Order: sequence, then C-alpha cells, then structure tokens
Amino acid sequence: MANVGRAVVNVAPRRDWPRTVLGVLLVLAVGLVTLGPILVVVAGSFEGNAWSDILFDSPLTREALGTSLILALRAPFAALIGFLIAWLLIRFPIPGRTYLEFGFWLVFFLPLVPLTLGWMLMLDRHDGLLNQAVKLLPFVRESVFDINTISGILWVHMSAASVPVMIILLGPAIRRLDSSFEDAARVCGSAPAGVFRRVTLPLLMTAILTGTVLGFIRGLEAFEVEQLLGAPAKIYVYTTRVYALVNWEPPRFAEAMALSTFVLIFLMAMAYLYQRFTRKSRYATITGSGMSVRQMSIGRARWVISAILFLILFIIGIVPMICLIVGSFMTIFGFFGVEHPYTLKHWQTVLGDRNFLGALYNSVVLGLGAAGFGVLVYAGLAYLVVRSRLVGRGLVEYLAWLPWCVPGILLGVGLLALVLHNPVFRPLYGSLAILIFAIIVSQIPLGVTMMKTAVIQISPELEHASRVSGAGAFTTFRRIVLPLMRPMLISVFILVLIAGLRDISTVLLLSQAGSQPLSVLMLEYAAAGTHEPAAALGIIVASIIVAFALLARLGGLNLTQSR
Amino acid sequence: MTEILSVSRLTKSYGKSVVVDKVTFGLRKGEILTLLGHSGCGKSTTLRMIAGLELPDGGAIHLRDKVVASGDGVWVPPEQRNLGLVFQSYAVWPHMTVGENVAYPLDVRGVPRRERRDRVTNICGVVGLGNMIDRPATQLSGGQQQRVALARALVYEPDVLLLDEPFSNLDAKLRDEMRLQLRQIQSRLGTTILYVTHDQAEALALSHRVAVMRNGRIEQLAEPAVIYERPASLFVQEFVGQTVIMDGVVELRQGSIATVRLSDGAMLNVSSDAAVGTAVNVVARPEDIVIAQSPDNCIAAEIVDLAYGGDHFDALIRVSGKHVSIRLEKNSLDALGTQLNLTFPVGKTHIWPM
Repeated sequence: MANVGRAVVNVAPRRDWPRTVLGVLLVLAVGLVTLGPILVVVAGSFEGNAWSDILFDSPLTREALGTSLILALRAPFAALIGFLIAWLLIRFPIPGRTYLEFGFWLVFFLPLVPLTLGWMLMLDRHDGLLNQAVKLLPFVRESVFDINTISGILWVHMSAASVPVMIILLGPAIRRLDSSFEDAARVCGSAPAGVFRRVTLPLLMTAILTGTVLGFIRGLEAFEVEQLLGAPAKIYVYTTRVYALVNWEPPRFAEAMALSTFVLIFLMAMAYLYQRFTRKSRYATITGSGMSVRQMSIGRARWVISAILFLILFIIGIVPMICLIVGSFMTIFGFFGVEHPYTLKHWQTVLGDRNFLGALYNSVVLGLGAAGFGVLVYAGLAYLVVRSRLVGRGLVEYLAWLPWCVPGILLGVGLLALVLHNPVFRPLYGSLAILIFAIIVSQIPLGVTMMKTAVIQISPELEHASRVSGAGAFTTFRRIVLPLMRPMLISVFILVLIAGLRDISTVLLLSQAGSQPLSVLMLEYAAAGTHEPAAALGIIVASIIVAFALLARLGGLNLTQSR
Repeated sequence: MTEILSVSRLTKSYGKSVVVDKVTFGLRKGEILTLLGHSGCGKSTTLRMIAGLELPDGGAIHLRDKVVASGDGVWVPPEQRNLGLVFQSYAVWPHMTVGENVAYPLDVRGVPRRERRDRVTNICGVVGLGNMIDRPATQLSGGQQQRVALARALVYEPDVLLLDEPFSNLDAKLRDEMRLQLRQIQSRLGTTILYVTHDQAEALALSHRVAVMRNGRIEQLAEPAVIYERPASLFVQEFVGQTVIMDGVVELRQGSIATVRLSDGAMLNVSSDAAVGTAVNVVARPEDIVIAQSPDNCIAAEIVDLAYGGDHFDALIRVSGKHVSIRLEKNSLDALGTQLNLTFPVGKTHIWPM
C-alpha cells in the first residue's frame, strides 16, 4: 500500500521528552531572534514620557506619521498599474515582451539610492536637467520640477520600486489564472472589455488586494528615498524621523521606540489582513487540471502597447541610469558649457577614498556571511517546521514570519538598544557580526518560505531510505536533504547576498565607522550633496547587485516563473 | 528454526481508525514471508513500524530477541536496526551515481574504502547493474532504479530485508523477471525477507509463507498451498485465486457431508459439518469444476460466451445465477451444446456461513 494522502510522517519518536525540550528550545531561540528586538522596542517606549511627547508635544513626529501614511497610499495605484503591465505582458503577444520582462526584472533588483540619485540629477530644483530644458522654452522662467517634495518622493518610489515590484509580484498570479474562465465568458457573449471587467479582474482581485497591502507595508518601511529627498526639505516620514531621533545628541531612544511601536501596531494589522488575503487567494486563482495560459490576439494594437511599455521602461529605468552614468563623468552635472565638462576625478575620488576599500570589504563580508550562515539557518528551520514533530513548530513558523512586517529601521533600533544596554552583547557594538545577524533576521521570512517549498518537494522516502540504511538524522540531513535542496540553497544564497549588499535601513544604525558597508557609504555620499562622486559609487554598487541578480537568473531563479 | 523478527500484538491507529490491530507473527531466518492484502489493510504500516518509520501504539517488535519498538515507548531509531528497505517509489537518491547510492550504507557504517568498492561491485553484479556503477541515478529506467534500491538494501547484509510493493511500478513482464531474480538472489544470499504486496499471484509465487491481512488483522498465516487450498475464511478464499460463489441453505446433513439447496433449487453435496438450516455461501474454484459425465451431484449450467484462447477456450458459464469462467479443452467442445451439467467435487467445494 502506498501511503498516498497521508501526512508526512517523520522518523522521530512521538511521545518523548526530547521532542518537547528541543521544541521549546527552538521556539525560544527563534522567538529571541525575531520577537526579541520588537519587545525591546516596545518596552523601551515606556521610558520617561516618550508616548506623551510623541502624541502631544512633537509636531514633527506627528507630521512624519501623516506623511508616511500619505506616501503609503501609493500602494493601490502601484498595484493597479503593475497589474495592468503584467497582464499585458503575459496575456498578449506584445513584440519584445521578453526584453520588457527582463527590463522590469532588472529595475526590480536595482538599489534605490542610485536611481534616486539619477532622478536628483534629472529633477533638481536648481540645475536639474529637465528644469534646464524647460527653461529654454518661451515664457518659462523658473524651475517647474522639484525633486525635494512629497510628489518627488512619490515619483521616485513609484517608478523605481512600487510598480516594478508589483509587476514581478502579480505575474505568477496572472499566469496561474486558467484562461478557460475567460474563454467561457467570451462564448457566453461578453466582449473582451466585458470579460476583463467581469471575469479577469474579479478573479485576480485578491491578488491585487494582497499586492496593495504588501505595498502599503513596504511603503511604511521605506527609508533611503525619504532620507535623501525629504530630509533636506524638512519632510520627514516615520523611518527618517526615527533615524533623526536616534542620531540626536543625546539620542532620544524612548521617543524613537514609542513612534516605532505606534507604527508597528499598524503594520501588524496590515500583516493580518495580508495573511487573510493570501489564504483566500489560494482558492481563487489556483485551478486544477488543464491549465492553459493562452494569449489573446489584438492585431496591430500590440505594436502600440509595446511602444508604450518600452517608453515606460525607458523612463523608469534607463533615464535615471543614464543621468547617473553621465553625472559621474561630469565636472558639475548639467553644466555642459564649462571649460572641462567631462572628468574622471569623481571616480578617482571614490576609488581613492580609504573608506571605499574598507566599505567594499565590509559589504563582501556582510553579504557572504549573512548568505552563508543564513542559508543554513533557513534550511534548518524550514526542515524542522515541515518535517519534524517537535512541539511548538507551528509557533516557530509564525515567529519566523514576524520580521516580514518589521521595518529595517525598527529592527536596527531594537538591536542597537540590545547591544548598547546589555553588557553581554556590548562587544558586538560596531562589529560586522551584528550587521550579519541583523540581515539574517530580516531575511528569515523570505528564506524560510523558499526553503519550505524545497523541503516539501523532497519525498520523505528518500530520507527514510537513508535512515534505514544506517545514517542518523543529522547525517541524513547533511548528505541527502541539503544536496537535494541545492538549487534552492543557491537561489536563497544569492537573494540574501543581494539583500546584504542593498540594505541600508537595517544596518544603518548598527554600523560604525569601521563596520560601514558600501550601501551606507553610498547613502552618506549622496546625503552629503556631492552628487557626482555619489553617482560613481552608485554605479559600482548597482553593477555588483545586478551582476549577482543575473547570476541568480542564469542559475534558474526566475521570480516571474516564465513558462 | 529461529525467529529473527517477532511481532506481537502490534497495534497502530490514526485518530479513531485502527490501522494495525494486534498483529502477531514471527519471521524465520532465511524465509520469505509476505503480508498480503488490499490497500489500507495495514500491511505497509506494519512494515514501516518494523523499519522504525512509525511508532506503534501497542504491542512489541523484537529483532534478534531485542525489543526495538513497543507500545511502552521503546523505540530504536531505524539506523540502529540493521534492516534493509526497498520502497515502491525506489527512493534512489537523484544526486548520486548508482555506485554512490549503493555505497552509502557502507559509508555511514565506516567501512574502509577498498572493501566498500569491492562489496559495491559485487552486489551490483548480483542484481545485474555491473556495468552501470558510474551512471547518474537519474539516467536509469524504472527497473534499473529498482535494482539500485535492491542493491543498496542488500549491500550491508541486513538481518531482514523489507520490501514494500517493490515491483508494482514496473510493467508486467519486467515484474515477472524481477520476481524470479529476487527469488534467485534470496536463495543465493540466504536473505530473510518480509514482503508486502497486494498482488496475490506474486505472494503465492514468491513466498515461503503468506499472511493475508484484512482491516488491520492477519486473517490467515500459512504456506501458499495451504492458503490456496485450505483457506481459513471466505475472505481469504475470495482474495487468493478465482472463485465462484453461490448462495444456498443447508438442507440435510449426513456425517461430514452436507446437502445444500442453492437459490435456484439445485441440490449440491459438500464436505462440511454445518447445521441444517444454515444459510451459506458455496464457494468453488473454477479449475476444480468438472463437466459432468454422470448426473450425480451436478448442477445444470449454460455457456454464455466462448472466447478463443489459442490452445483452449475460455467459456463464460452461468450457473445458479452466477457467472464463472472455465477453461475448456479445444477438442472437448465438439461434444457440448450450450447446456451442460457441472460437477462440484465434494472435497474441493467449501461452504461458509453467511
């Protein structure tokens, strides 16, 4: 009899105290790592009058909250635009769609700071390229565009992150929709527009809503764009305000923590909504047999759509990157008329900066360390959650998911407080180890989720065969499970590596002069107002990250699951 | 003969359903014992408890006179039991070559490299994989993968080899071939085998003893010939081999001979001690049914259909409202019309109370 349909039964005794003890230890370990920093923040918020300061005395903080909310409201628009683009790309024979998909995929991986820099060069209030161009027009005397505004921040976010993220995120949901639903509606007499409105859109609505909630959460967590564009104009959001409070002399930790706790309540509510949506959407979009993604023919209109999509890709990806590249080679960006408009001196400045080599080294150690250790931790956790009978493994799963809705800056504050106020952890202050730890924690949800899918795909009998052959549980994990998970291990390794290279908000507060990674150095260059060398550094960071993303793609990691 | 494995009152339930219910049997050194039954009868679960992949709720499993699992919480992990196990799904590790798969059990036992190589080469030769040792496991056919699984389970000379429907994913011809080979390997190596299958022909052909299981219990445990010729219950008789089952009532009994009136009124003598008035199933095997020469103790029947079978005919016959397929000699057909009388030999026809 084949054990079809029975739940995975693992090789482990059922009534045994190790099961309980190990389970409790695991819950404690994971809880300490994921829930610990949050508890530190919540507990710290009750010191002094932090809460009343925030709620009644600090207009800046209240304003920051308001601005955060306004900015986060871009989520539904981003979801809709992203959905539309993804739908067009997947369901219509758009000429050049492979290139378009690849292009959006690249923009998705590009770090935000270089893109923001590109837009700063393009849309700066004084000498932004576009403002210079507009001033050449008759009747226009003054600058029209200003990047250092809420709408500037919105524009950069929408173009550089929100919309590309949605395209990548919603693609799989659209692919999973059986086109026979739409065919049926056509046969029943609906015109194509009616089919889209009455069948396609409702069926994918949960996916779009899910994307919206996710976008809202990510919107509240965003940091670097707001810091670069908002701070100079005294526009603060939640994250940048926390950063300012912690950097105050002396630091206003309690206030930062109270503010974080306040936002955390919002985020938890959003996360709850997200979970509910994803649960429902499983029924809504996954169909059973005979799935077919058929492309609809739209005649010549496909050329028009193709042109529009290429234009969008050009504007959101290529324009800022060109600005960035040109900017890094110009004496002063935008001033083509000066005596020597082009120069290599910014590159020399960056490459000759002693901090650069140190930061490069730190980034390499940070990325490789987080990816290397992280992969093992995630694989182990995923394996225990899926296969073991340990007590409390459901709780572990929940705890492992927690950092998903914790902003990097909050994790940073929590860990910083832990390190500063606890003599045991004190030696970690300013070390690379604490940065590696922070990145590992922040990537637990992604890592464990991906590893779980890999573990589930391994037939338990492959492990059972090893156990019966005489290998213990650990040997079986090392020699059978891990090698079989290798493709996923590599994918997760590269994703965590990229996260380590990209991340700013998590590591910013934790890094000190000696442990500063490249991404933070880049932010400092950009924030210092020296745009040209910052552009050079941005190109370097972006190239490294894109190189790894391409490597991952070659290795089979394709977030859009193209056929 | 010494029992190498003994299972006593083994019990396992999932939620409210009892999957294995007080199963008791012993496995002698060097024999092939088969657990035979429909899917869901508990045979695989029994096997998995012996392997250490499931924990029993009650009863005990002894290996070489040592308790390895019991309802009291004793549980020796599978890697310490020195058993071999071959799955229906082969479970050949796809990231290793044939040789690496087979060498794995020796490797984890710390067998030195040179000895390992010799033993792997040797066992691969035995199962017919001699020239494929360096082949990646993913480039093998189903039959070859099953051979790898078999070699992997044999290479460390386990005390008992457990086989869980090992050939049911193979096509019929290959299955017969593998069955034959397994018997040869077993007699050559003297391996003790516990075999699980739902295929009664396989069980009869392969085993020294067969345990027929039903609803978590062993219905009968005996040699194949006994199972077939002297089944302990209607279930066993029906499950193993072909049968025709007719219903009737015991009308008269003289000594050990009972006379049964079938539902269509015909009378039939069978050897039984059933009481008069008992409602019974009369069960016979088609090959025991004879075309009557004399009218004594026979029943009228009718040929419904004839299928040409080369050296014989398969006749579908209606008797007492039931259909049964009987093999007829080619030349015997000329003498027959569509109506005929059938004799059910007294000693070979069974009755079971309803």
